[in-house]
Amino acid sequence: MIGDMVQAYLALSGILFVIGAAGLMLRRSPLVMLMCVEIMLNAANLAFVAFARHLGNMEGHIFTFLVITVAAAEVAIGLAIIVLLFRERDAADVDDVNTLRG
Amino acid sequence: MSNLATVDLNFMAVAPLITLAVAALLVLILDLVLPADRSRPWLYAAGVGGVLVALLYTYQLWWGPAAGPAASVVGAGALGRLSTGIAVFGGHYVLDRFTLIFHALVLIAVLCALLMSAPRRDEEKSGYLALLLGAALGMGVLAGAGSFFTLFLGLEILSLNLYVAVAFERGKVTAQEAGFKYLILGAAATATMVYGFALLYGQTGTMALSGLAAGWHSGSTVLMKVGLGLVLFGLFFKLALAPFHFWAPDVYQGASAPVTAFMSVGTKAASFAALVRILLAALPEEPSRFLLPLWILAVLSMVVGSFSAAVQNNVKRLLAYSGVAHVGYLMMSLLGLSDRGVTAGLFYLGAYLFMNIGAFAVVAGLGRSGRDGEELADFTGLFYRRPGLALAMTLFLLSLAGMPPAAGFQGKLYLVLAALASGAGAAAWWLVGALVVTTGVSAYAYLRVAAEMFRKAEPAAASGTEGYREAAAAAHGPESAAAGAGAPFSWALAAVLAVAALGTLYLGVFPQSALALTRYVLPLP
Repeated sequence: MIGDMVQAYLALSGILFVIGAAGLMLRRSPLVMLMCVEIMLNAANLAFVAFARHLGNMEGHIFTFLVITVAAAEVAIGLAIIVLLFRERDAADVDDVNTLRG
Repeated sequence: MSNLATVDLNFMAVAPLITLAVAALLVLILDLVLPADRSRPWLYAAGVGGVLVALLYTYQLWWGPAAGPAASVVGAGALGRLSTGIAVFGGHYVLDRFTLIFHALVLIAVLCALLMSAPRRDEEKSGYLALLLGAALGMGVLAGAGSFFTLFLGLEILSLNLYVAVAFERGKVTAQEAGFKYLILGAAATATMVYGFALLYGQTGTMALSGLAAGWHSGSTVLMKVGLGLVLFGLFFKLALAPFHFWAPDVYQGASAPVTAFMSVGTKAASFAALVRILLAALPEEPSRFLLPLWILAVLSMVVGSFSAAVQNNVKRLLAYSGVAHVGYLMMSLLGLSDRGVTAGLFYLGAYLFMNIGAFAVVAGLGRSGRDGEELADFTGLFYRRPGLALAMTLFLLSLAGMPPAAGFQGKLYLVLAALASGAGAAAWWLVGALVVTTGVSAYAYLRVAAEMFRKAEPAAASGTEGYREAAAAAHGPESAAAGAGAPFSWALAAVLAVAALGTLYLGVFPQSALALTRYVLPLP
């Protein structure tokens, strides 16, 4: 029974991952881009948990905790940098952030 | 993996890493308890002292547990071939000489970065120093990773610290922009890599690298191939291998010179270590067929890196593209995954450490009033203003271009010899051909800067006015020149330059001694 379920979960996590990656490339708002990265990480989490259930060992569950913790740190840093960057200049999206070129 | 009673909590094995963490915390605490106007020297003393102690521990471990019998290594197969050391913490961390040589590279790099930032007069030093030390810790963890857990943690410790370090300079818009770009792209690469880990875990049922190869023997290998591809994508991004290099020029230009010098060398070294471990552990017995994409990317890197470097007017961007080309050369060492190849790669990383840090030290030394001396115009007539700095830069540029007697030449020579001896056939000839052609192109890029330094500054030139004023100030004696230009040149920077120049020359003239050291790492057949 679980053998069939893991494929469903894997399909869902694949769809989530693609949504995240596509959003990252298409959307131009820095906050939404950060959220898209989170979706990608959570897609990985879902795959980990599904595989851990399927394989019957705990390592996948533990990895999920690590990913959640690190993702929180990443978002904290990301928001700090975004605030720093967009307070200094009157920019609404990442297309306005183009000082560095060449 | 195993229950807690049998997990080997060998804290001595990770002593260099613990030392770095303690030093980072100590710097932060010292900043709190010491009076603000007198804390600077103590903060630097704590940081530099911590790195030196970590180097000492690395040396001790090199002759101690890392030299232990190969039988004690957890993880048979390809990973075991690499190791003469021990696996600790339930196999999650591998302490062997391969790990330790990367520790030494990273520690030297972070030491140079700390000394390079010493002359800078900005506030909030403690956070900055702690970030550099933390990033070095992450690189150390990544170099010794024995499972997906430590790979992921090491990669994230180094990345999270570097995101902030890149954006650290307050009020500098380019630094914040670089930090933002690095963060978004880096986080996406990490997420991709984690997804790859998930797929590999699903295929093999274990997080240990030593269990990876078993994934080829169970039914469908689709998960294995896709997972491995995603993991390698993340590592290629960190290595700045074309076409995953697009972040590098912006980030290198935006960050301050010490941070750039450190991250360019340290991140590449640690990611290379992880790449070697993953490839050795994951590839089936006949690796050549699976590595074809890697050779294509390597050639692409060499071409993109060297041609883009030739048209840059910003020296930091030039060095960033040169880094892309150098990673392409470095990938040659993985031809056939032979011991000889990896040894050549280690030697090349050592050479790149010294010549790259030296070049960035010159950029930092030319800086004035909070800005790095990074434009090509800053180098005009440098030889007539500061001959020592100009000669040092010439040495580093010649080395980067791969000319004897500097280290870069020997490094490339070993790479070519190892590639030809690897028995990889056509791929080896393609790579060697690309190396020769792109070396010629990039020589133009480097020598353009060198020629600029020996060109007399013209007072009429718009961009040369500042240089002219400085030249005029230099005529009144070195003290007035330093005061007039506000150049933050100091003994610390001079020490970095001296170490880098000596290292570049030493590896170039006496390569055998360093090569003997790397031979301890990999038992040659």
